[in-house]
Amino acid sequence: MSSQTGQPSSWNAKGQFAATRWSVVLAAAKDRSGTHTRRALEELIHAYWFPVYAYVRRQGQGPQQAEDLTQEFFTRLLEKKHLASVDQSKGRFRSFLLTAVKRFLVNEWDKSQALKRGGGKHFIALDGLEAEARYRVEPVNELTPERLFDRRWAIAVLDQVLTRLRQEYIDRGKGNLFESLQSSLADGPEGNYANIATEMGMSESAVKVAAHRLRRRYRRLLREEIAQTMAGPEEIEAEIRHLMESL
Amino acid sequence: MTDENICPRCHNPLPPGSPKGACRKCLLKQGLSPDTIGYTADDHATWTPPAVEQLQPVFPELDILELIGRGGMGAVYKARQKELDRLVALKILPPEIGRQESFAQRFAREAQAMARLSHPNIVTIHDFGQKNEYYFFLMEYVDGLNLRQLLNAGTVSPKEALAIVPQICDALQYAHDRGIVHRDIKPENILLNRQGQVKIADFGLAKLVGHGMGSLPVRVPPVEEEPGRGQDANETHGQDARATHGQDVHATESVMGTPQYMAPEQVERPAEVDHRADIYSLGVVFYQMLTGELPSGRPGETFEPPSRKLVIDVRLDEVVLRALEKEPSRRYQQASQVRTEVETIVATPPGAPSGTSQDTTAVPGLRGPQGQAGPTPPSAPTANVGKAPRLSRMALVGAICAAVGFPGILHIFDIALVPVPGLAPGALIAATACGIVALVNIRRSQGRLRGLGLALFDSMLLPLLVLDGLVGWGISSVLDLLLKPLLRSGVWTREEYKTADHLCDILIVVLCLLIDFLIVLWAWRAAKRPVNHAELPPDSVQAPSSP
Repeated sequence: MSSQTGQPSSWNAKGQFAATRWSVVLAAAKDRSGTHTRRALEELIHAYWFPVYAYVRRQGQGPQQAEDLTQEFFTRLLEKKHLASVDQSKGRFRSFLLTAVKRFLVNEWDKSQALKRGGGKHFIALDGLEAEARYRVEPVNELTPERLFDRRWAIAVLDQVLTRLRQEYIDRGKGNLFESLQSSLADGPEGNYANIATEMGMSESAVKVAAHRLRRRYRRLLREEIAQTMAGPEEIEAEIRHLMESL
Repeated sequence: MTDENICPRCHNPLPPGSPKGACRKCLLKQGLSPDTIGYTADDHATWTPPAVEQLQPVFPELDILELIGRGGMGAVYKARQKELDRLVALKILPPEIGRQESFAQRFAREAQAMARLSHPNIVTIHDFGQKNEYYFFLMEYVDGLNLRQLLNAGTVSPKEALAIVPQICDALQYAHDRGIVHRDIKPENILLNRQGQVKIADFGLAKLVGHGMGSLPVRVPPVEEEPGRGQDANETHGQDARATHGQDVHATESVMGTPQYMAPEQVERPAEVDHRADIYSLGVVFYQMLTGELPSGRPGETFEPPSRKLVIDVRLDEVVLRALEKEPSRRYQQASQVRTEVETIVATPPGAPSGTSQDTTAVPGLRGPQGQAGPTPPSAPTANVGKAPRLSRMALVGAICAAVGFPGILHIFDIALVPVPGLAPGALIAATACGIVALVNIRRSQGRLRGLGLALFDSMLLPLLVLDGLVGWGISSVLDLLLKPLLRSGVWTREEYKTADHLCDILIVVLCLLIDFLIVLWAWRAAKRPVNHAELPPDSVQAPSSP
C-alpha cells in the first residue's frame, strides 16, 4: 500500500501512516483516475463480495439471478458509477457497499426486463456454485438481509485475516506450527501448550512464546484488515464492536 | 481435556464452520484496542460496584462504610474491622475478572507476593481472598488524597514534588528488589496521607488483573549480570533466558495500564516489560507534577523540558528526561538512582562547580529569591555563573552624563563654568533617562546587577535640582515680597535686610536639603522593595511556589 499525501489514513503501531484501500478509493472517487484506485477497489471487492451475494439472495432472488446481479453490481462499481455519490461522512466501506447494493437492486427491479448481462466482462470471478453452497449453510430463518450481510461481512473479515496469517506462516516454513497453535489464537487454556510441545518437539516455554507471537501478529493483521475498509483510524474500535454484534 | 465444541474463551458452543479452536466473536474481540483493557461494551465496563448494603453481608467481619473509589481494576470501600477497630480499605475486583481462566491460581500467587510487600511507602495488604463472587483485598486505609486530586487542584509546588518523588523511588526500589513491577504507576495510585507520606497502591495489580490471558514475565533486575545486558536483549535472547530461569512466560497480547503513563515498551512489546517501565511512569508523573501537563505522548514527538515551562533547576530536566527515555536501556536502571540524583540536586546549591544552573540562590532545586519573595526569571542570556553581581551599565552611563552636565547646573547658581551652554541640560536629561532605565534593570535582575544607589542618583539629579530651584525661587520670591516692603518702609536697615536675606537663603537651602533627603529616602525604599510579578519580563513564567 503506497501512502499518498493528504489522504485519510490508518495509523499503525509504529506511528507511520499508511493509506487504506478504502481511503484510496474514496479520495480518488472524484478524479476517476489511476490504477491504484482500481486495484484497491478490486482487492476490496475480492475480499468482500460474498456478503453482497448473500444479501441479494436473501432479498428473494434465485441463485442465478443473484449471481448475475452481483456480477453486474460490481462491474458498475468498478466503472465507478456509484462512487461519485459516496457519502463520505460515514467512511466505512461496509456501510457504503450495503447502501450501494440496496440502491442498485431498486434500480434493477425497475429495469428488470432490460437487464444486461455485463457483456461477458466479468471482473470478479464469482463461482456461482460455490457462492450458493456457502449461502445454503446460513441459518435460514431469523436474519434479515441486512443482518445477514453484516454477519457475512464479519466472517469475511476473519477469513481474510486467517488466510493471510496462515500464508505468512507457510511462507516461512512454519505451516505446521500455525495449525497447532491455531486453537490458541483466542487464548486457549494453558494446558494445551504441553500437548503442543510434545507434538512439535518444542519446549513448553518455546510454545508459549510462539503462541504469543502468533496472537500478536494475528491481532495486528486483524486491525489492519479492518482499517482497510475504514477511512480513518478512529473507527476501528466501533467497527469491531459492530461486527461482534453481527455474528 | 479440550472440548472441541466449546469456545475456550467464552465457553459458548462453537457454531458450525467456526475456525478451529475459537468462536468468531472471541476472535474479533482480540482486535480491540489495548486502551479499553479488554472490557468491551458487553463486558464489565458497565459493571456497577455493589452498593454498601449489598456488600455488607458478604463481609460480616467488617463495617462497610462507603464507596470511595472505582476504576478499571475494581472498587474500593472504606470499612472498619470490627474486631480490631481499625479503618481499612476493601478493594473488590469485578466478577468478570474472576471468571477468567486460571484466575484463581494466579490470584493466590500474585496476591501473596503483593501482600509480602511491607514498606512505609506502599499500601500494606492485610488480607486477600475470595468471598462469593468477589475477589478482594483488605488494605491499609490511607487518610488523605491521591496525587490526581492534588494535580486537579493545581497545588503541587516544585518543593512538594521534590518531596514526593524520593518516596516513590523508595517504594519502587523495594518492590523491584522483590521482583514486583507495578506496571500502572499513575497519579491515581499515588496516595498521600495527612503527614505528607506517600503510599503507593495497587502494586502488581495490573499484572494480576491482566487481560485474562496470563501474566507478563517479570524480569528481576539482574544483580550479577554484565551491565551490557539490557542493551542487546533482543526478543529471543531475553525470552529464552527468562524461560530457562523458569520465569513465567505466559504470553499476553494485551497491554495493561493507563496509556498516558505507560512506557513505550508496555504498548509495543508487552512481553518485554520489566521494572524500568515503572521508572518511565515515574518520569511522566514527575513531569506532570512540575509542569501540570503530560509529556506529549505521540511517538516521535518531543516535549518541552520542565525548565522551559517554569522556574526550576535545569538539573532536574536531566532527571526527568532520562526517566522518560523511550529506550529502556537508556533510562535509569534503578529507582534508587533517580532518588539519589534528585536528592543530590536538592542538597547542593546550583552555583556549585558541578552545577550548570544560572543563578546563585539560597534555595537549590528552585531558583529562589535572594532573601526576597518571588522566583527569578529563567534563562536570561546575561546570566552569571556564581559571580558577584555586576554594576549596571546604564547606571554608569547615567553617572557620566550627570558628571558632564552638572557643572552646567552650577550656572544656575551664577557660577559660570560650563564650556558649552547647551550641553548641560541635554546631558542631565540623558543622565535622568539612563538612571531610570538602570533602576528598572536592576530591579528586574533581582540581584544580578548592582548599582542601585548610582542609578537613583542619576535619575534623581535633574528632577531634584529642578525641584530645588523651583522651591528656592518660589520661597525667595515670596520672602522678597514680604521683606522688601520692610526695607522700603524703613523698619529695617540695609544691613538688617541683608542679614535677613542671608538667613532666608540658608533656610531655603536647609529646606531644600530636607525635601531632597525625604524624597531620596522614599525613592530608595521604593527601589528596594520586593519585585512583584508584573514587573518581571514577560517571558519568565512563575512557578506557584510559596516564598
